[in-house]
Amino acid sequence: MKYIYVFKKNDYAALLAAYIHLKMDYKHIKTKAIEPMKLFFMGIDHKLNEVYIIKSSCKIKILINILNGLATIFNHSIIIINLSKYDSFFYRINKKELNRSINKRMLEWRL
Amino acid sequence: MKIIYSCYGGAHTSIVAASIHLNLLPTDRVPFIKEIMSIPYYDYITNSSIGIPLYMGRDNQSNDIYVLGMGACRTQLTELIYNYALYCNIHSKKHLHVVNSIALINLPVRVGGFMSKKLKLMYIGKPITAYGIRKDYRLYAELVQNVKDTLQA
Repeated sequence: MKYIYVFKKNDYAALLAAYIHLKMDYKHIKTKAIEPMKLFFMGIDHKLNEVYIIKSSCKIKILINILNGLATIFNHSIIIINLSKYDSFFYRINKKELNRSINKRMLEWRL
Repeated sequence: MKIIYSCYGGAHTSIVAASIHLNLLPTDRVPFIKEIMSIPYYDYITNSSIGIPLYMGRDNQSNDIYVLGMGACRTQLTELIYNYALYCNIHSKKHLHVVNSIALINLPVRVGGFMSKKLKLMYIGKPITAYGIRKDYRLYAELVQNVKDTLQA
């Protein structure tokens, strides 16, 4: 199973979500400019699922449709998590609230 | 091998190219407008479904033919598709071929596509797109022939 975190502006949110998913220490995340439209492999979780992040430069809906379509073409099972909710200015400056919100939703994403 | 014909919306040019590849449209003559409009999935995809690949069929060489609309970021999405196939480790880049048919688009196809998809005037837009495709039909046949020659090489 592949988990793909899709985002548009908030690089930190995607990295945070991936770190929390992989149960890694997220206190010292440093965000460099993530290249758009490239799949970045973040690691494998405890259930042996692959975790990726991808930054979108086009409409997120098109990217999500294409990723779902590719999974169907190659017979893979993937779960796409849309983090565009966290692209707002509020979440980009308020990292504590972002952290709290992602932690709260993490259980729901991994079910 | 998987061949993906791509264009902006996945509704007109790529569908015609894929249909020519699957011998649903002739290569030795220019088809009538009704013939073009009657191919499966022609002008079928909606704006919200852009990006969903459509399986058109299997050709004589057992290649799976798909059609995909990519919106405005075609170059980056094409690279993404190849990278995804590479990451899977099951399919290398050799087993996938993405063909961009957007270069064949002309003014009637643009106008007809706009009328059909944005203005929802399908009864007017659809025949206009078919007329535009019929005008440059030889280019579509040449594109498909180039793809087939590349695969055989």
